[in-house]
Amino acid sequence: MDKVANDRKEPRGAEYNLSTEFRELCMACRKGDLELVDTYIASGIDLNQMDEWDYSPLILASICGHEDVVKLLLEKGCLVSRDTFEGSRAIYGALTDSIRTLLLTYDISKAVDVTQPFASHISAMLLKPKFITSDMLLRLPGGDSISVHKFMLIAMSDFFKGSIEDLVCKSGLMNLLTTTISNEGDDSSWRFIVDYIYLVPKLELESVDIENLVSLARLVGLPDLATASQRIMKQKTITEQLRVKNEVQRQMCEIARGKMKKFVCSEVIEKKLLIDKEQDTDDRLYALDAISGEQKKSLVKDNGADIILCADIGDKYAYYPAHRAILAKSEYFDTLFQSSFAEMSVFGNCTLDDLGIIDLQSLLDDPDSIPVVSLPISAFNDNEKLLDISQRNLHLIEILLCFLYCDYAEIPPDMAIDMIILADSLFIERLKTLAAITITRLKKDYDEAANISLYDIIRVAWQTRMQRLETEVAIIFSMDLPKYVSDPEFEKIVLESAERIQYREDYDTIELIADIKFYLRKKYSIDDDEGTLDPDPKGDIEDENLLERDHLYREDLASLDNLVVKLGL
Amino acid sequence: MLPNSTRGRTKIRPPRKILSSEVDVEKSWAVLQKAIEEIQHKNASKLSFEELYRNAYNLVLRKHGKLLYDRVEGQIRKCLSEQVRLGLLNKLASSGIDDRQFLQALNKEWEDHLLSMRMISDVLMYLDRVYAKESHLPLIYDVGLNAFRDSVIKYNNNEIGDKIITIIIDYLNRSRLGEIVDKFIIKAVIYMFESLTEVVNIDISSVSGSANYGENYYLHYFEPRLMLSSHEYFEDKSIELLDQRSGVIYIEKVTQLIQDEESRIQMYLPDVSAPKMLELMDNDLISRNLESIMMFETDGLKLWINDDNYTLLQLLFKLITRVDSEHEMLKRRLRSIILENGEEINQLSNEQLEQEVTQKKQEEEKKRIIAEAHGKKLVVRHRSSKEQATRYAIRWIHNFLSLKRKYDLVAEKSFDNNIGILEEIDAAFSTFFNSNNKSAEYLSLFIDDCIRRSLKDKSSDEVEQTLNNCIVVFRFIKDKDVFEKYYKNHLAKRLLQQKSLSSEIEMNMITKLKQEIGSSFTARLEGMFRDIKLSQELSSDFNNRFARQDVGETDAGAEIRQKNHGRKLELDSSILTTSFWPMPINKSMHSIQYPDELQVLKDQYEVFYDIKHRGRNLTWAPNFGTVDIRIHYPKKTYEVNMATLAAVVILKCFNDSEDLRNKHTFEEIQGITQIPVPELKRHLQSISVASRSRLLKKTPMSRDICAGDLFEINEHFKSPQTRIKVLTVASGSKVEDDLQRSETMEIINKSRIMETEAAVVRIMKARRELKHQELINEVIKQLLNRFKPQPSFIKQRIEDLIEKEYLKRDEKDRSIYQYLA
Repeated sequence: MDKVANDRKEPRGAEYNLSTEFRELCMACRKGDLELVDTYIASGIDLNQMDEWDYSPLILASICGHEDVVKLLLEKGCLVSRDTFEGSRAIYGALTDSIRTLLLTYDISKAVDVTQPFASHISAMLLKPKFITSDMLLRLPGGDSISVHKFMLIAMSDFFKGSIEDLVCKSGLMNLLTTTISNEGDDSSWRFIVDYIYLVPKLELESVDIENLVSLARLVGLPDLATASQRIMKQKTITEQLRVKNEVQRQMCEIARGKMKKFVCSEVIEKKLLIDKEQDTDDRLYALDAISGEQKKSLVKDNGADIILCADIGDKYAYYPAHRAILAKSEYFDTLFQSSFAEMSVFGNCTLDDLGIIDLQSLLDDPDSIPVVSLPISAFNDNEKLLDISQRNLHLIEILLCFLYCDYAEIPPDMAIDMIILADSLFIERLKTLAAITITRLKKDYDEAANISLYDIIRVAWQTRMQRLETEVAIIFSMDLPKYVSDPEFEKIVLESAERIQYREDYDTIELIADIKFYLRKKYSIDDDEGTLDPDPKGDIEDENLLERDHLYREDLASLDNLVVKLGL
Repeated sequence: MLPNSTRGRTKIRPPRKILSSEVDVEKSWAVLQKAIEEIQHKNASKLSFEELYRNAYNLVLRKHGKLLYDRVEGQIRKCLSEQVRLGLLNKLASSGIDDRQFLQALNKEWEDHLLSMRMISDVLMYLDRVYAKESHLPLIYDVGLNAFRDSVIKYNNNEIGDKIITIIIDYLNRSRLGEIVDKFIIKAVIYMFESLTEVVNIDISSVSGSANYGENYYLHYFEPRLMLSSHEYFEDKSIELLDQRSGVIYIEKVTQLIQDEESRIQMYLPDVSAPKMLELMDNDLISRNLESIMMFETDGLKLWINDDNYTLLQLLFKLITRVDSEHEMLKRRLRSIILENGEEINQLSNEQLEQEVTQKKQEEEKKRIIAEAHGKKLVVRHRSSKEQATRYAIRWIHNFLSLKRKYDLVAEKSFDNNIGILEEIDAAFSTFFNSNNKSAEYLSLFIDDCIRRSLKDKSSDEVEQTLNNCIVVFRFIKDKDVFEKYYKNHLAKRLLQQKSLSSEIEMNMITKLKQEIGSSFTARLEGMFRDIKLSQELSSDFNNRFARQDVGETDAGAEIRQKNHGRKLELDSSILTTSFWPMPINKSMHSIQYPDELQVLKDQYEVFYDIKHRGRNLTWAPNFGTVDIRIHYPKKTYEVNMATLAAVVILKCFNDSEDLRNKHTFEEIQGITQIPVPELKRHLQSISVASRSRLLKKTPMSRDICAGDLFEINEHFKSPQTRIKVLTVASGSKVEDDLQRSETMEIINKSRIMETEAAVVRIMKARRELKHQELINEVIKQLLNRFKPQPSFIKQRIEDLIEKEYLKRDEKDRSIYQYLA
């Protein structure tokens, strides 16, 4: 049984959207009005919301049988998962089999529009930041200004690399403030470009002077934007424009992800600084002091980083330049950045509240004050050789950074458990899920393929509340029960499971035992009334089998019960 | 498929024990405890988030969640109880600190506490997410709020809480007296109260205890006290205002009071209390007192309406709207006042009439004195009592209309033209209108008066307005058929006597009635109108063609002229369709002996009419017509217009040119003319007694005509005009006396019987079979525009129809009727 779950903690049902636009989108999904739906998607509306009767656009399109609309919605990032209420409603309510098949192929474990969570975080940095992280004020010719992140500009275009002074020379922009640029171009083109950089799904060309935009886009090194906007304008009908817009949006997210990946590799991961641990010091405090101001400065100099991430990798400390706006994807960092503890005290001084930006330069001027934050869990001890551990830990942290910056995570199976624990401590549910999926994809070959102990998996599952893994392990136990039931480790794990229930009474079941029994019944196709689960046309043969199966089943059951009695539970 | 049991013979990989490393609980806790203390003392800036998070994380990960959770709670409570609470109590006890400073100190503590809790719960986020969530315990932040509630506010039997509530309520009361109080601190404290949740205890054993007011401190402790004190305030205020015994003052003051209180509620109190406070206030100030206020004799609703005090009435309306969207109490009062007004109308009309009469009398008395002074005698005409009654009827309708207009204005200007109130006003008017059984007749008389006289020389707008007013009154009439009856009578008289100001006005009125109630009601009225029109054409046809008498004289014309001593003679006829007109065919007129001049006209017209409409029966009704006669008196010749019957008397008995001094007794005249006695008396009276038209001389010269009276030509007759019109006694439209009314009602009742039976038959013919109740309902529906029949009346009719074998009862179900073809 390939049970995959989307472990989102908050049900999306809490987010009712009662706006007119959303209602009209829902109505268009009911009617199957593809073009109208397209229009609303292009307007950037969040597709994973519900109306007051708990209908999402996807559910409506699915139960009303509009396959083309369903396809469009899925392509645009509508989430579907059998394990969520909304997902199952869309799948089981689908009017036709082909819609159902379509939905199942988009189930989170199979294929996800990975650009969706990526793009939405980037857009939110511009549109609804929870705290001030932008460090540049883009002053427009019209007098308005937009606060942006230097690192976003750098990541998206080489044009912005280097100092502000260079930038001013390169483009003939006027330097009004140290962190302010401005040019002769028009406001709307600049706004459009900023929206594009931040992946705001609007692409509204109506109020933009295309020629200005195209030349500006080429100037700032965004040729793809120039091409795309020309392409959109070439379309004759509004429908065609919308189609192309959607295509462009998907492309721009992919392009941006690629650029971001490049950025995180070259400007974050490559820049890392390793410092040997000294013995006999208080680890933690030392980690913060071990790096000098000059070292800090060299880390953050040219990449717009506003913080240094420190990790204890065993024999060394690893320091990475990082960006609060990105790290805030983790709830741990989000909370930390918004709190007023020692780590963040420096930002109180260098935030220019009236401008809504922070003064990065003042950090560089006083490099000792550049804050260092460390991961809450230290080196992942293993009984392997020390050198190996450092490498593993570095790898792990770099996967984490890669995921945070570009929503991309390739987790080697043997690191999955460590990643689950790390992601759990940082409250990154999606990364946890991805790591868990890595494990479940292995099927039963844990020992051989990945050097993972089943007992570790189940303990981690309990610890980090991963129902998906608990189930997985119970199935494996039930498949090979005789092999495990005699293992002393298995006895321990049964005891641990029993302890998980506080004040357990005699008649309470042990969760693990109950799970295994459940999957034993499935394994031998035995239902509670001792009959077969599936009515089989080849009755005779099955009957023969039944006796044999029943026998094995009872044997397994008895061995389990014996164990429980033996353990005095 | 059986699972492959040969698989998995490989060794089982042992666990790496990644999570089994121990943690020094006390050391970790010491770090956290110190940090919490620092946070509570606002020394947090040196603390490392990461370090605290890591300690908490490790404790929770190693299953010490409960220990951590409990110790954190204990630490928070300890600080609150030992430092915050005692500090506040000290402030309370200290004399140098006033209420406001105390509240500010409290609010400061509260805000600091929230800030601390925010930081504490941030570093304990792993404890929240993992331990608290899995154990279904409140989050640390909420633990902090509860601790504040228990260790500060409610500690020691709600010691501090009580004090705060008393202060705030005192503040609110002071603000009611006009004192300006610090609204920010009040809002802040109330907001704090709202943030403190109360555990709703569903333990059955405690249900018998105090009532459960809600799930936060504000609702549970503060709001009940607030309600109580506000209730006292409103009650005191309303008693104070009531003592002034003035409705105007009460309404104005209460309106102001409510406005003030509303802004106060908005300013200080949370949304959840607003509806409760408003309800309390509305109840104490409006619901309880307003009805008795409206009933104040000297300064109540009746007076305000009478004085057209629209502003005050509007205030009143708004107040009542607050408590009752149906405005029941206002409707009740309006109804009873309108009914009183109805009584007053009767009286008022009487008074006005008396005044008018007295005035007239005085004027005439004056005239008489002047006349006497000039040596002339002036006969003072006294209005008959019937005429008086007619004047009264017109006055009454007039007054009714002004009263209605008054209320319309009040409703428009003060009551927002509220539908419910308009309906209530109409219903009350209808009640008192219909309680007067003469009202339908009054209206018909009023219209009669309008069309005859009062609309003369009025602009078309005024005419339209008046007619519309008539329709307004008409709507109130319950039994439209009674009105129709009177209207027909009055219309007939107007048409025959050509008393209408214009046929346009007549038609306009009929059209309005038609629009109001439908064509079945006006069909006969229109028929009457049509008759008159056709008659005019017929007359002209007769006079100009059939009996042409000048150039191109016809045979018939010649014969008529010859009978009239060679003079031209024309006939103006009104051919009335019997069923349209209200007058009965008077058989006693058959035997009248016409003078030759008239007889020949009659004969020729009959011939003429027979040619025009073969087969139609003409019945002559001389009692409605008039004749123009030229009379040669010795001194002068007069042209006299008189009733046909009077003309018959003159022409038949006194037109013997040879014997001008011819005398006839009453009996002789009757014998010659064959005019029925009462009619003859009436007409003799008009030509021998009435002062201005004493064509005949009567001996003796008494007012009344008696048997044996002697009549002769009055040779001394003289009149300033050459053209004289003899007024026939009692010819105008007047109020019926009681006898006539009962006769009218008799007639109406008969026609109701007919109409009801017709309706029953019509319905049964269409439906063939119907249940009793359905039939009754259907009949009532059909007759609605005519009158409201009682079910018993309809039942009677049905019985009759069964007897007449139009219907029968179903044999199985007696409540079903069947139609018999």
